[in-house]
Amino acid sequence: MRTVFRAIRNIYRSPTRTILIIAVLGLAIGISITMQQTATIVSATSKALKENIQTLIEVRAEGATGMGRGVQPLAEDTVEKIEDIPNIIGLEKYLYVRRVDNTKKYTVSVISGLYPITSELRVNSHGEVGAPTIVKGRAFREDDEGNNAAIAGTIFAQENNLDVGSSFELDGETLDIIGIFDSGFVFGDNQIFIPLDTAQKFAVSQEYIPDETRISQIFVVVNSVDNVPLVEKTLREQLDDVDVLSGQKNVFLASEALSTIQRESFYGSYFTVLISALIIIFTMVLIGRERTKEIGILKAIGASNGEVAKQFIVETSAIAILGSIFGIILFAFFAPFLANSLLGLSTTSLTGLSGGMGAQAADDILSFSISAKVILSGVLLGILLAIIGSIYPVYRAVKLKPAEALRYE
Amino acid sequence: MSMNKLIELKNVSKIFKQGDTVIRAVDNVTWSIEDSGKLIAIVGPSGSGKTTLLNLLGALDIPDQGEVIIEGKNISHFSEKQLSEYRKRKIGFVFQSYNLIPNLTALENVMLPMEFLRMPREQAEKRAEELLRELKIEHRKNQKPPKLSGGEQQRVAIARALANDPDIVLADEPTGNLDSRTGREIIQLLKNLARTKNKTVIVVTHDEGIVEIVDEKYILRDGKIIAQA
Repeated sequence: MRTVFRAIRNIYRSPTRTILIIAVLGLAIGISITMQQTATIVSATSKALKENIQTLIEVRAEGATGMGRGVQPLAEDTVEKIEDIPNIIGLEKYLYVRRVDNTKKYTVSVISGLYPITSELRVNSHGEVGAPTIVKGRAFREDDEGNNAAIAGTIFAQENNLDVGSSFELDGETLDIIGIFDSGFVFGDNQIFIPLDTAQKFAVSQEYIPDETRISQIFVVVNSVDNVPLVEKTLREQLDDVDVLSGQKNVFLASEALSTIQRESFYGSYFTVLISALIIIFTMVLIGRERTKEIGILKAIGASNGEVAKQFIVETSAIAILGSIFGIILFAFFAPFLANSLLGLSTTSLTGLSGGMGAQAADDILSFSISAKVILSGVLLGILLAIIGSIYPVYRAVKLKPAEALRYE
Repeated sequence: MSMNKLIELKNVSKIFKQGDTVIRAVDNVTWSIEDSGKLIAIVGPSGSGKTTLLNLLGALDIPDQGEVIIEGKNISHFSEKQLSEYRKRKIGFVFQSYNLIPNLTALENVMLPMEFLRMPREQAEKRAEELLRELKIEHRKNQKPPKLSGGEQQRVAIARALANDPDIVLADEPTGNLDSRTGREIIQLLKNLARTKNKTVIVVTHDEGIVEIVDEKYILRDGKIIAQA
């Protein structure tokens, strides 16, 4: 134990050098942890993107984009035709209806009816479809099917003085707000989600659709990514006057962007670990050489090779652990800014490529925080560096003959 | 009075190579050190092989030829662990440039060999304080070496050499960095220690002035013991 204390005291022999080494080491470790975190989060986001979008095909009336989409319903037999196509495991039906209220600042809203009620909320904005975040209340549950539950966008709720628990009238139906969402777009946040049948009644009363069976958009869920091209082709062949869109191309581009970030982050992480290792090796070689005579003295007065080795290992570990702690602190304070600076361009591109999902991915990428994983990563890196840094000095110290060491000047 | 042979050298040689030149620093020396309670000087000019001989006696080095016998065993066959055990228990070293650990206090420096002996801290501290008191340096026990004078540092080094109660104290030019008065004091101190503690103290030196104080003197030249006085 006394060897341990002695070794720790040794790191204060040259305080300026020690502080500088710990600062540089900490910086390298901090960057390495940031890169590792980036790579991990990007990997998870990339996987989620593929899982969520790659098997999805969007079917909508031909030429129906943006706000015009809600006015043009799909043909009556569209659903029947789609259900007969092999490899399809689910359909999510949407009806988008424009609502104009000249008494409000935001006069145009979109009412989105969906079936099944637990389908993913997809905000319709400028031809892009994205997943909003529930910021208050809750998402739809199965028992909301058939009830007059509604989830409102933040701006729609604000402009209509609505909150979770409040109600509003829609063509004679009273709708209860169960949740508020934020899509990241002003346009998207001016919408509401309600059950499909309620939306259909309203759309008929407003003469948007001719009867209460019509819908404006279908999301087709395919059983595997491999079958998406075939199903897409079949849909185009069997359906008239529709646009068939798969997210595959966008997802491919998004995945490519994410893969690039992930790859570069991993390389960056390895590179910074390498830099850290070189710093600690250089430091310990320098210290080992400086202490050559001291090694000889210790051996002359009875220290075993094990005791000399222990001193170096503890000293290296202490430097590496202090570097790790400093690295973790640096990560906690500066990683979000660093990540933003490193990934800003890529995430912006990503957001543009894949709409709301891209925005979510961008948010995930930037959501750095101190966690057990980060601390563990820092500590493991410290241990790894301590091992790497001690190998040569310990080997040299053990091999050094005392008489030879005592002659060293 | 019968005396035990502590170390025996049989036809020992130590050879160094400098480029193509072969230097026999110790050349075919046969000698033994007994449990004598005496201060013994090995005298010789620079380069005569004094330090090399001392390193062989202290198991800091092993011979290229011949045998160094310790307790009936040839140290050439010792493992590293056995060599460090021998140095730890049987030998105390005093060096010309004191060789104290600079970031440890005088007391901690003296406690260091006892740490290697796994002596409990309280016991080691008590013994270190006793030794520093005997060497009249206890009042400086909390000072680190750079704050001590040369004579004070050498006293601390002698206390450290005695810490594990070794049979032999080997001193390599212990007065080399001291003024003549302090040098004489240190040699007198080593002589008293040899007597009072019954240690065999071997000093290598080229300082002819101090050899009058010692009990025995050996002259070393070109790696050979050429005379005993």
